[in-house]
Amino acid sequence: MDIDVALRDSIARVCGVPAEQVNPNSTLEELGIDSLAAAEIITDVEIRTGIELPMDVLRGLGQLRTVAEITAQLRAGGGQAPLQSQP
Amino acid sequence: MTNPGRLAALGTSPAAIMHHYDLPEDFFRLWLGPDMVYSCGWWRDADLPDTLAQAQDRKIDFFAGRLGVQGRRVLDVGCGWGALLDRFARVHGAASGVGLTLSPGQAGFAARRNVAEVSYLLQNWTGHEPSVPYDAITCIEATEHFASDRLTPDEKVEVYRAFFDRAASWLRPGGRMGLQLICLDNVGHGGSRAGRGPFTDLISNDIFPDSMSASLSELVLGWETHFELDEFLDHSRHYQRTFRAWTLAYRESEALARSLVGPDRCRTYARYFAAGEAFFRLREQSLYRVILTKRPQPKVWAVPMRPSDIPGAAEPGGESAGASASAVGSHYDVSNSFYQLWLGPSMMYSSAMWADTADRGDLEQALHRKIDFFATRLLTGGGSPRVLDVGCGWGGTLRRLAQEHQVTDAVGLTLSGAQLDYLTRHPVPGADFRLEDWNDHRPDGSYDAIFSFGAFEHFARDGTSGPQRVAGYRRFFRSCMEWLAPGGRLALETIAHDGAPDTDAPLGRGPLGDFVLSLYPESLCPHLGEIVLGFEPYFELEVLRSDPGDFARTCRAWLTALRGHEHEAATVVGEQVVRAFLRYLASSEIQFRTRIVTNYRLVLHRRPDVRV
Repeated sequence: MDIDVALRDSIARVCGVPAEQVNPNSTLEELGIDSLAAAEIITDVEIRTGIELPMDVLRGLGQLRTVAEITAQLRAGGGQAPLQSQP
Repeated sequence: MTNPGRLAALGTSPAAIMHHYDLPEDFFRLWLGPDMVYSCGWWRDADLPDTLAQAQDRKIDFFAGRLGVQGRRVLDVGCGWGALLDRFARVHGAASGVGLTLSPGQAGFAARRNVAEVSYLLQNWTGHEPSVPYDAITCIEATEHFASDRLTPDEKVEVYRAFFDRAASWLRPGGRMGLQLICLDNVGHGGSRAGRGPFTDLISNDIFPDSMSASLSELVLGWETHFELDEFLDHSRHYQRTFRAWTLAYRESEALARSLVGPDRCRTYARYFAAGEAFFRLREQSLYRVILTKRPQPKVWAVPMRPSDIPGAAEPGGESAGASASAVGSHYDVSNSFYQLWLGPSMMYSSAMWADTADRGDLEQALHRKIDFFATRLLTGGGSPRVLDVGCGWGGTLRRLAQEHQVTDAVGLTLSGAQLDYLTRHPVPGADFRLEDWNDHRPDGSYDAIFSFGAFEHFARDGTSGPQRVAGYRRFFRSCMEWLAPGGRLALETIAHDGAPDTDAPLGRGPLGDFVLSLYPESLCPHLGEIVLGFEPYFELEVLRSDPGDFARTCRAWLTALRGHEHEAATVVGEQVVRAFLRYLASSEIQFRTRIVTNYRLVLHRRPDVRV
């Protein structure tokens, strides 16, 4: 699954908003995403895509402001071996 | 405490170093062997053939492997006669190295090894200022010389903090440290000073003047700000064998030794080898091998702990220092059928243990591996052991012990009425479950083993400072010591703050901290130094593992199961609660993976007497 789509769907799920309302320029503040919700979104993206994000990507997410920035960071981080097989 | 001159003055003086290490090389070679490695070896099992030289190579190879020295730049603090960097470079492909020693004889010998790109300096660590960062640092049995025997425990901690501050500043991001530590164990700081007996007089006056071993807690307080724990090995028994090997080699050539250093000193050394072997056999001292990784950010402390700040532990029976029964119940009493949906058939609510990242076993198998791991280390006496489980949950641990480890006499304590109700409906043969705080527990007889998984997080309240938490933990450990038969063991597993800052609230508060506190009211996880300070008066440490990856995987397995039963769960506890648990499990997984928190596993062996 494409990581943009996965991220959008994850944000929609965790924030309880329709996926169409999540666009790349949305800020995390607008979406009400705090560090806690961000952690939940990341886990959800991993479950959807089957990738495992490396630790420095996880640790760097706190500094990001918009959905587009997160997408860029996820792309840069790439996929690692899955943490565990898909359910 | 940053002045190098003042720091150096707190350690063993150069004159005292020379007193020991600058005897003739030929004298040391008689018993150390040709490669001149003066530290604990790594021996194979007692029934396998082995030599001192092989044991020393194996030790060096362990550090080379764990530190990944190939193509790397390494600092060795307290390099002795230079064997470690020599082997790192020639056998393991280290690119360059620097060794520090205070002994002119050692520095000269090491230089004559002529190892390309390795230099040995006659320099104190306090004055070391590298121009290029290192990838790894080793420090093999050198910390005993960092703080002289004149210092108090508080002052020792300051020195070790200064050392690990420096070490972190010399390392590149993500760099590692390999330590081999001789620590005070059954005999504490005061009892190890000269004047306490013939052994301590021999060591303090004749062998290592002006030196003092650390207690493990002092070193953990030293490293915890800048380093996370990767691996910890109690290898005290390896030092018994090393001293015995030195004794045997020495006896072969005692006449030569006498001619080199004179009859008095020759005799003193024979006694020193015997004393050393006895020290480690009695665990008056212990030998630990430790691998650390530099944290991405230094850990921040609300209260930089000093050993003298810890208040005396309150008498048993006083008010609990931990979370109240109603607070604990609020989490675990949510609904048994809700937890059954995602915890799985064994109903164990603590971390599983996978063999390694390639292990594809399911959660249930991995949970059983965890119980079996501890059971094989605790239930060593045979017969029918009597077991206590503090924080027994839904009985998963005692059920496994009854089924697989012949435990037929057990007591389980819980503060959750729902858990007790479940246990009444699903009894475990031979197990007596009680709705009781450990603080109120009065056993009928002694136990052979105590298990406590995932309960320690409730033993200190939010709003407490580090020293207050340690006082509470000491009360728990002292109670366990009193409940255990001589030689008994305690298995402990707890979530702990790793990179997270020290505050009086979980994870330094913020959204996640508030959330954790809402799910686990009145609870607060410990830091490693607090755990060690807690048990140190009462228990020897046999196993210490930091396994955040196991708990991350466990959270993922629970999360996957709960997502699979999301609607069913909502009909049992409502959507709000399901949402909260989904968020809690997902965020917990990330906290473990980024090492904001970790999962420590300990096996502790009851001391013969409380350490003073």
